[in-house]
Amino acid sequence: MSAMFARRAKFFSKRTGVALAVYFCLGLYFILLWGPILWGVNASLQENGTFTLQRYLDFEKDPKLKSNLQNSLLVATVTTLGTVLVATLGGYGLSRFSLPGRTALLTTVFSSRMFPFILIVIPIFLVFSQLSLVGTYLGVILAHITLGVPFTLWVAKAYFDNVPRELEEAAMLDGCGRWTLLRKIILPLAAPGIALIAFYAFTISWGDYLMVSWLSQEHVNTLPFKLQERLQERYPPWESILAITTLLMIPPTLFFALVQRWFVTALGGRATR
Amino acid sequence: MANVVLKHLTKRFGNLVAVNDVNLAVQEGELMVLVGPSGCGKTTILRLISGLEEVSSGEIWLGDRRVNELNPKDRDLAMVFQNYALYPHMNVYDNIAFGLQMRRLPRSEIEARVHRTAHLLGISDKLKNRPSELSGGQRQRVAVGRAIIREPKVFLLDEPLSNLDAQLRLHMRAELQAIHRQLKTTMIYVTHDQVEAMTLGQRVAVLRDGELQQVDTPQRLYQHPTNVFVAGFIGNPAMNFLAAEVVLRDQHFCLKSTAFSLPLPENRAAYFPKLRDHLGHKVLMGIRPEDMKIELVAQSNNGVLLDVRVEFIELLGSEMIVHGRLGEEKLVVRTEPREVNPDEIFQLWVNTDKIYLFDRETNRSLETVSVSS
Repeated sequence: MSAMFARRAKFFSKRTGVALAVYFCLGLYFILLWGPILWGVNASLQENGTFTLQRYLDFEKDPKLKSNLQNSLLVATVTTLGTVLVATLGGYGLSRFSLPGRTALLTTVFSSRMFPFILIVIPIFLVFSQLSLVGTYLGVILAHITLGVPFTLWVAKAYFDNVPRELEEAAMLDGCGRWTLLRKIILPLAAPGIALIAFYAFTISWGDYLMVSWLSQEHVNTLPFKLQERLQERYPPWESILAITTLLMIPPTLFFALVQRWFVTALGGRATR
Repeated sequence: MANVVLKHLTKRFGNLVAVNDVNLAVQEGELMVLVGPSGCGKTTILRLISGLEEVSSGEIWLGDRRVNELNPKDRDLAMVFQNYALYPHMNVYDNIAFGLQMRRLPRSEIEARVHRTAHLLGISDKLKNRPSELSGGQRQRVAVGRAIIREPKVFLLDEPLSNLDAQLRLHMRAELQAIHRQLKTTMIYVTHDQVEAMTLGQRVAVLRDGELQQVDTPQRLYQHPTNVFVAGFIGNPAMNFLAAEVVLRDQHFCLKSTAFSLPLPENRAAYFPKLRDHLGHKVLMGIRPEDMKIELVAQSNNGVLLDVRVEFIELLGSEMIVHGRLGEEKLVVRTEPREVNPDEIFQLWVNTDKIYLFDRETNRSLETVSVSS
């Protein structure tokens, strides 16, 4: 009897030990990841130890910042729509039609993501200069779509691959043309994947500084650009900078809250069932 | 309703010929079963008819219309898929209604027809459920409902019962038959299961390696197979094939091998008009397991007794399958249950009226039957 209790006690202590180790690691990670963020948000809301929204209210007085915010929202939204369009149509095509050189195409597109962004920035800048796209919204948006498409195209293709062909065939016999099919059957089933693509494209565009710094030419300055600008001031106004970072975090957070329901299925689930 | 005619239908996938010069005429309102082992091209034929695959050569006619170039949606066919292919994001109602919605029928009519179909299939209480919440049999019904609600010219069914358990399969088979009787729509049914083919089909088309072997009523397929393949494929357990030489004894034909000598009754020999050409040559003799019996005394004049050694036995309750050897050749006998033990030698009564003969080179039956269609 006592031996059994001893064994059981040992068993529990082992399990508890493991659990403690797991929570310790996760806690450490959480502190490292979220500590600075929370500290930053907190600092942006404090003035000599008291709570204040002053820095956020100050945004009103900064027309440049307002235009930066507008630029960011515009560029990120159009980029998201554009990427979703390119990735879903492209991914669907690549998934369903066997084209000559399909694998080569996919590999080439994806491998462009193996290089640092900066390697792509320079040629894009040179090409866009020729096309008079530098300093235009279109230029920045196209550049952001270029960054977003390689990964999202793969995600889309993988997702469409998971939608059984019979569903399409059944729908075709039910009287769907290709477009109706895409709208009524394929896209609803691939919605989680599309949510993932949209979120990815949005964060890429929203957070980009590098592309904008080359292509904006003071015409399409976005929020990260503004941040960098303020950081380069002689005496960086830290609290104000932290307010901008907080502002930068809000749209992706909202976006995530909106689509996270689908994320679970997108990352771990299947299209059908 | 429409008849379906396939003329020299051929489908190639690269170098592979999946369907080879198939000619088939399915009558209006007929239930035609396409049967054959996997890879015989039966599903491909169905997909060609539906328009999901493009024809390599040949023609497909639905009624008086050549449909080779028509899109699937314009052919007015409905198909039931092996894995049902229900739309997972729609409830049962929408799954069934989808085809009508696509055809922009008035909402009130769609509703009436969905309820009628659901009632016919006994799924009225499931209309609000998603396919994932249904059992296999219920999903099967929804798939059938989606097909019949459109009242298409032709139904195509691709192994619709193969995902169900044995009991449910039997039940659904009867239901499909009832539906066919009620709707009287032309149905083309694909299966690899010869029992299903025999029980369901008004006529059955047997396929092998993309080629049509024989099209006939189940009974005629069983009684007059045109070749060794059909003879072996139809019937369970399969027909026994034994090599034998055709000889004359007292002016009567006789089948002879090292292990046996079977006189062929006059009336049976008459079935094989060219038998005389095979005198002195080896032929393939076929005898069905059910046309033999374990007996001690010959039952009729046309019976012959052979010594067979038992290898093993399958007892099925009302009957017994005995696997034995006649000389060197394997032999399967289906008979009433009896006391027989492995390695025992028993006497086998062979009904020589039921002997089939096939050419050893061409594998064709020596009977004069044609591949009708």
